[in-house]
Amino acid sequence: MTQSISDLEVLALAALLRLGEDAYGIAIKDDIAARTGRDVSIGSLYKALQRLEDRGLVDAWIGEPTSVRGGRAKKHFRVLPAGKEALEASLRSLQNMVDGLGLDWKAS
Amino acid sequence: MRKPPSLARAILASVAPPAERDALLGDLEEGFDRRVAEHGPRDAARWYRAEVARSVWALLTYPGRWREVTMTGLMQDLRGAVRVFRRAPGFAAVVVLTLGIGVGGASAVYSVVRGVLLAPMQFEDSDRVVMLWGRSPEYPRAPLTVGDHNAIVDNVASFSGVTASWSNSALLLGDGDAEQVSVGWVTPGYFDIVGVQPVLGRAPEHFDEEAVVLSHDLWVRRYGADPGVVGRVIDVGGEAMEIAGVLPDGRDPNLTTFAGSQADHELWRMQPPDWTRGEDRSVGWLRSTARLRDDVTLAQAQAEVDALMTSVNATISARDGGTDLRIDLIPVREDLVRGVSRALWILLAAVCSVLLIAASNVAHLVLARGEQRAGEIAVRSAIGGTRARIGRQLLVESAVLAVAGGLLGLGLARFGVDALVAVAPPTLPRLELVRLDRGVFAFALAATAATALLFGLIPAIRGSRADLSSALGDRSTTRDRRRQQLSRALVVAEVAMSVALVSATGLLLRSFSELESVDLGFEREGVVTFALEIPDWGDTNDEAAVTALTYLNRLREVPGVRTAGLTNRVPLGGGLFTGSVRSEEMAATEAEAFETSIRWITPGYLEALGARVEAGRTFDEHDGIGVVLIDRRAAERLWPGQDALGRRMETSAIGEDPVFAEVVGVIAPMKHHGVAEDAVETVFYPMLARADEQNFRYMAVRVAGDPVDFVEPLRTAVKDVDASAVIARVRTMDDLFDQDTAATRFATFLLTVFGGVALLLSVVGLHGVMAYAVRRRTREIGIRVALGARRSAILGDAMRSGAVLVGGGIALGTMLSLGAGELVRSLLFGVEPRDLPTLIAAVTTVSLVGLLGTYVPARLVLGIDPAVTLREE
Repeated sequence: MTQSISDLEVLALAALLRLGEDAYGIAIKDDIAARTGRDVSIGSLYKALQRLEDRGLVDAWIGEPTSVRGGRAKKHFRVLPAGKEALEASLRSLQNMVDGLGLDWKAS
Repeated sequence: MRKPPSLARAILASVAPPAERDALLGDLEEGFDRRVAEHGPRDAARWYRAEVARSVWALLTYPGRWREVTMTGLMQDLRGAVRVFRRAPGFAAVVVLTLGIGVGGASAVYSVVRGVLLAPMQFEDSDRVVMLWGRSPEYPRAPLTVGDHNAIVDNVASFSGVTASWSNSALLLGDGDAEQVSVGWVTPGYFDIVGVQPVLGRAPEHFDEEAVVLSHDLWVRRYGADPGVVGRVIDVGGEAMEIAGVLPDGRDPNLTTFAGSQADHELWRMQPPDWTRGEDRSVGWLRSTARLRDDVTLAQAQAEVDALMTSVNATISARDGGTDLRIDLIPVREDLVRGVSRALWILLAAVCSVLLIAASNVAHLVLARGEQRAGEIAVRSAIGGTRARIGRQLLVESAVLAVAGGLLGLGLARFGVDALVAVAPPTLPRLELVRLDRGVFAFALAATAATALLFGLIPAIRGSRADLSSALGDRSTTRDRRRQQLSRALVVAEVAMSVALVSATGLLLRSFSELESVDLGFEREGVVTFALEIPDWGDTNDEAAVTALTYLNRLREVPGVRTAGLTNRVPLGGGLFTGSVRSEEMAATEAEAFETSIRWITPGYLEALGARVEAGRTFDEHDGIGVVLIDRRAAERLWPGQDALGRRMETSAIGEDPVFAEVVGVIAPMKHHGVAEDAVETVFYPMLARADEQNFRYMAVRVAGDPVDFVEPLRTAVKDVDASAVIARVRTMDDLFDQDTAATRFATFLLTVFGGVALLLSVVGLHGVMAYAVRRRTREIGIRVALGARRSAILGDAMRSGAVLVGGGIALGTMLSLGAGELVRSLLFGVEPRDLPTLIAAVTTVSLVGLLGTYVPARLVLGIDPAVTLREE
């Protein structure tokens, strides 16, 4: 059974898939902002990611400390297979809900 | 390189879950750096702050955020704490017991303060009800005269109502045994103004000569709580009266104190209107009560009354005296507790210092223990325990101790409250309101929390900062010494507080012994007093005088009775009657009269009391209204430096018009109004000359033997004369004395207990610190012994370090004592707040006990075996 996920979690999962190796806090935040115009607070984003991690949808690990960022390590995220399934299921439901409504929703 | 705004960064760092903190700070710093490059530092800083502000809530509600802190973590800590205490049961027991004593004592005393001083009176808007008392140089708290009462009724707009009450007693006849009841005479509107309405029937709104209102107690006791009692006609001292209403239970409309304790009227009736008519200002006897209008403050009302009295005083003649009378408005609750409030606050302060001592004791017990556990804590931080985690563990341990101590404290408070109520003086008003309720519970909780913070937080902060090198290796580090210093400072503070408590206790003990030996002006041993209540004294003065003599003679025939006499009020039995007097010489020069206390007495009364006649004679059966006795104080004021005997004085106490009377005797001053009060100028009038007009008749009987044994024979003798005669309010003079000094005895007893507990706790603290210091120096001492140092020198060393603590505490305590002395000043009698002998005694006591507390642990050095200690290390 796939798990239902929230709006923000959908965005985060998609960002993780796109960013791949480069998926960490501020990068995810910026990606979401650039593509949706939605300025998610870093705290809310971390909270959403933690929920995904707790449910086994994403995996996280602390990277090596870097010389930039005040010498602080990044926390990296990666989508697990269950996460991908959940994202797909979520999108499918959405698709099913809007099919045949004649909405003009494709990005130009 | 720009840095992110530091406050915002600190906030983020503190609210972020520890596991995410670094990544979060890094992410925001990266974003910040990019914005600095793109938009400039100001914009970047604004962005950073906004980002932090928007993140706080999400971070605080982070999944699993509180899990560690709440359930699993807490349970772990709790289990840890229990384990710790199981390993050190002695430590835990001492801490819990010390806390329990401190919290229990403080809560018990607070429950008394709360019940007696803080609980509201149980009528409507009781804080708007004020008592009106006259204040003159002679009498700070005197009943109002009819003239003054009427001036207030007619002129003061600040009151929505003014009423007057007055009391005497009456015999309830019929319906079973004759019984004496205390009667409150009130003006119409009394119950409205006080804010108490009958639960049965009604309170008469206008004068109704035959209406009586019963107290709840009387209704239950004498009339079996019969709901049909309203309308019933009863016999009150021979008068047929109709029961108009019954007052509610537990809402006592007796507003004044009477004989030191709250008045206890059980029957209420209306004052005839002519009692309170006119402008007479010669005799004050009305207890006036007023209700403030809703839109008026106490200060406004007081200002209006002050202005009124200024204009009234201007119209007073020299003959009446009292041209500088003020009238004080005193909220009724304050008025009721005025005699005890200071003592109770002092006791609360004392018991709170005991609590402080207990808390600091526990603090250094915990500190010393933290020291012993430094190794354990260092190991824990070495294997990755964070400072917060270890600090929390220590706090949880403290909390467990505090909760246990607090629970024990509440248990002790339960017994403490019962014990306090049992030993409390009967004169303590509102004692029935003293109980353990939510307020006391909250107080105990707050006291526990405060002490837990004091003893838990300091060690938690200090303990969690364990640094590895010091705890695992060398022990004598700076921080270690600082911890020692804190402990030593706490002990000094404890000793200081003990000195203050012990010296305050000493002052009270001395006052008490002064009270016991004070010259009352009469001999209190072997005297029994009682109110004599008979249905009919006679219609004329002559008949009443014969009746009085009949009883007196019958009582004098009882075997063992030496003599007996009647009066309107016995000494120390309450009741203030005053009248103005001036000498014939003063009247001639229109000099102003002054107020004296008035006593009506029969022959035999002064002899029964054992009063001392300093000149002239006492009354005989033939003395009329033209002769008086005065006490030496009145004599000195009327005829300073001259012989008063045979002189004439003008007195307004006898009737409307001034009468001249001749002084036939001068009596040694008697303490009528209180053992600790100065005797006041008193004039004695012959009761037999006005035998029919007396409102109170008390008998004083001097006996050979224990007065208690004579109560029944005296009762029988009275019944011999008239079967329906009743003796009531039976008190030996010793009883009255004890009752009068009960508040001081109560305060002295409690302070002695508190002082003792404080001393004991300080010694325990001192012992703990000393024993610990010796144990820490075991190795050093071992080496010294091995090197040939004499044991006595080492013992001396150890003693010296203890003596320094005791000495410091005593120096500080001596200064505190001076302050404590001032604090208890109002409770003192015959001793100054800065009494040197008391201070010396207190300092000596604390020194001796303190040195003993030093010596016992210091002796531990004698048991140190260098071979063992050196091998151990």
